[in-house]
Amino acid sequence: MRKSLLIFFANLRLTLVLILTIAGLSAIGTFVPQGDDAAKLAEKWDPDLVHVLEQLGVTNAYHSWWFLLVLALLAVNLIACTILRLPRVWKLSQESEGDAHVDPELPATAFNERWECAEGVLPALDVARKMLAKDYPNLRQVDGPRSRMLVGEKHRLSLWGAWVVHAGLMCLFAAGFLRIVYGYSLYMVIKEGERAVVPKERVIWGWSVDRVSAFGMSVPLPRVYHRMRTHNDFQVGLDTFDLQYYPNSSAPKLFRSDVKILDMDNKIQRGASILVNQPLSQGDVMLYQASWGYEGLHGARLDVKLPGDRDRYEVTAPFKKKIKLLKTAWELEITDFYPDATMVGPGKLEQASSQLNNPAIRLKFFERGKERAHFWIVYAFPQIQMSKVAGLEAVGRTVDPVPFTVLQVGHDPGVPLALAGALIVILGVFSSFYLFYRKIWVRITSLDNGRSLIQVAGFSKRNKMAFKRAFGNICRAMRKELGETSQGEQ
Amino acid sequence: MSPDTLSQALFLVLFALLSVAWLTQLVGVLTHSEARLKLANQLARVALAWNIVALGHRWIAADHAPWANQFESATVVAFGVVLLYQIFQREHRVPLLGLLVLPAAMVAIAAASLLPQEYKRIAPLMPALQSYWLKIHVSLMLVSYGAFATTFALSLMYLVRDGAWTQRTTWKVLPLATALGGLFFAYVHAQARSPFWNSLMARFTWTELAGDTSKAYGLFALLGLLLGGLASAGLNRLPARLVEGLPDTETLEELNYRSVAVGFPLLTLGVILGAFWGHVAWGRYWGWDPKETWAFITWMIFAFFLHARVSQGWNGRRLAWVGLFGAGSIVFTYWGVNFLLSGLHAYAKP
Ligand code: HEM
Repeated sequence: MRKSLLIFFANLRLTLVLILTIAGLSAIGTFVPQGDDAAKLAEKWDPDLVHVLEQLGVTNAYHSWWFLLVLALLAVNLIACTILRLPRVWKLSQESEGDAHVDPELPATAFNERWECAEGVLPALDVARKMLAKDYPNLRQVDGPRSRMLVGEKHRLSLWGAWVVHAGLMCLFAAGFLRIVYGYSLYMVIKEGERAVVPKERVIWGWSVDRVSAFGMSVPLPRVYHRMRTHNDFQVGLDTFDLQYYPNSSAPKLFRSDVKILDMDNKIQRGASILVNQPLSQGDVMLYQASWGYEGLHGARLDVKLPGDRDRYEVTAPFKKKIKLLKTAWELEITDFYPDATMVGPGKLEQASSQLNNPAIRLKFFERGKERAHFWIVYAFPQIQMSKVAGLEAVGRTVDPVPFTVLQVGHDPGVPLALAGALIVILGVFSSFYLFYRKIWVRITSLDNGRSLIQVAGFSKRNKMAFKRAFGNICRAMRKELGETSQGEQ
Repeated sequence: MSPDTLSQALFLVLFALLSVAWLTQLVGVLTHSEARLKLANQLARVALAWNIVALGHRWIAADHAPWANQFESATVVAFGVVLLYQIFQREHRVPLLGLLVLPAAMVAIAAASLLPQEYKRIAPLMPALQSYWLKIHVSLMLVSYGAFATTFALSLMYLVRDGAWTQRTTWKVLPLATALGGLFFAYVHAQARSPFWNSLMARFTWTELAGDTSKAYGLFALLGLLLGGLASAGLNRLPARLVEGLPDTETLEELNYRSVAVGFPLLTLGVILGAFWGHVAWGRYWGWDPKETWAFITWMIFAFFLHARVSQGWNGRRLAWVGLFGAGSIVFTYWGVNFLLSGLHAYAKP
């Protein structure tokens, strides 16, 4: 029973089916938006359809049960194949050394030639050895009562290439498993001048049952582990966030977080910079520069005109703090700041993103301690004045927003295994395709008339055409050197 | 002349060189002239050298490796196509191979040149691309695409030689492909609102076409259809001599396998090194981004090719179809994903 299961899973036709299935299933997820993008899908597509897609896992295709199942089947297929075949191949590769009482046998191969020459066996053997030595340094000789045989092989290791590839693939499967179970990828936001604890996900083993609703039914879904959100035992503080643009362009050239690593008692451990393409490794997590944005202000400069006044006041105001306008009865406070404002209605603004694309601040004015006006000013459009008090105007000059950085916190214990697997796959693929295995046999048999019969056979695993040429060349050279007394048949 | 214009001009010259090499080879084959075939091969080498010059110029002008946008990458693919064809040809000397491989390089350059300006402009590198991995991973991927151009040509040659690919197939497939190309061209220009597209829209105000994008799409599809039809007519008029000049099916099959044996390791290495880069830049070595996924699908198709051959004894016609299928998957990975799907890899877009 166990044996037949093994044989079923070691089926190579199953491999082909699985390979095609995986290729086909992977394509689905490239056409249907995945993960977070899928949430916006309901706006464009029929919500019922989106719901069905979600239930089927199509919007999370690469983690859906059906995709993981097929991948797991391929892994089982690969392992079963190896268990079943490897011992056989190993045995085959351990060739017997021959028996001096029996003449060595020449294998039946695609390439072979034979002819007779006047030389005796031993001199002919010397010539053959000399000719083969260049291409096949490790010549082996097998002796029999009437004949001697030379066997040469090259790139024997490449015979194992496919097995090496598959071993590498198994490492990759194992790495993927570790990643799915133990890996996490979380985001943390830190404002300039502040610090934050680094988040973490812990895996807790133990049976539990989730209930998921599918097609109007509540279906129990057993789980062997679940995850708990905790934190790593260190913090990251953002000293400065640096953003540079290419000259005369809005294309960012560089963004960098200069950070401090602190322990939980706020003691500084070290300082470091995190850039795109230059993550920071700390403990068993990697910190990547993911994104940035702005929230809040250090302050802002603006020009203010009060009702009945001819002059404009140049004001430098802090954020969310009332200040007095000198020599007047007025006070002012910046109550809100949007780095990227869009107008959604008269006097109403919304925040489109946290990038500094279209900064706007909202001002509150007080006269003798009483609130008089509360309105937005958009830096890019000084002509739009939204104050409802006649004669009260404000125009923004500069803003000094507080940047924040978004760091990705990545943990993946499978990485070393994945690295090993990747290197092994590369090694196997290159050795199997660029070093092709070839083998040559030359048997020299003494004939009754004192002459010798020369038989040459050759085998090549790949690149048959190149081998055919090389094989022809060797035979031609040998014929020339040894002479030929009769036309041998092919 | 601005560096941008000069660079584009250099690649147009490359296109001309490739065309001349191709025509010389065609004439050589039709007239059974060894001398002309030799000349054609030398011309292909000149084109290769010119390609290096043009890429070198762009490298200096852009101050980064010249494979960071759609135009640049296409010129590297052309380089890979001709380079691997030359290497392959040195070992195996397949008559007529160049007739089918060189057009792959020509199409790459032509398609890139037909893109709106913003895809072609020399631009500074965004932070995510500022890495030595750009040099390694991207160039390897592009060269592996070049290797599979040889697979494409050999698979096609096999099918023609074998009789599975008839003149009628050419009539069906080629115009369809060029019509799709025309549609794609229109789509990209319309999406980018390129000056070319805008002026076209403006010029046709006196017809019903004004502002009607779908009609303009149809126009380009029709143009493509016409072009493909003309090409089919030309190809089908080629004398039977061309087909007889092909190597026998057994040789073609072996060569086809060899070409996959060249491309597969390159693709494997390219994808894996891309994963290394993803680990550093995006915080994961694999994330099922559409580009990654399609490279993976291509990889699976060629794994299928290899396994079907060793384990099920697939050969000849069936493997040739798989080879064509794999080549199609590469075209989609390379162009389709960039323009029709979105994802992290959308660097080619301006
Ligand atoms: C994504 C998955 C796989 C990849 C990329 C892969 C890759 C390869 C490569 C490159 C070869 C060498 C082909 C040649 O000689 O032309 C090969 C051969 C082979 N593969 Fe796979 N393989 C995969 C999965 C599997 C699985 C799941 C099995 C078995 C269940 C399998 C069984 C074999 C066998 C038996 C050979 C022939 C070995 C020989 O040369 O004697 N492969 N594979």
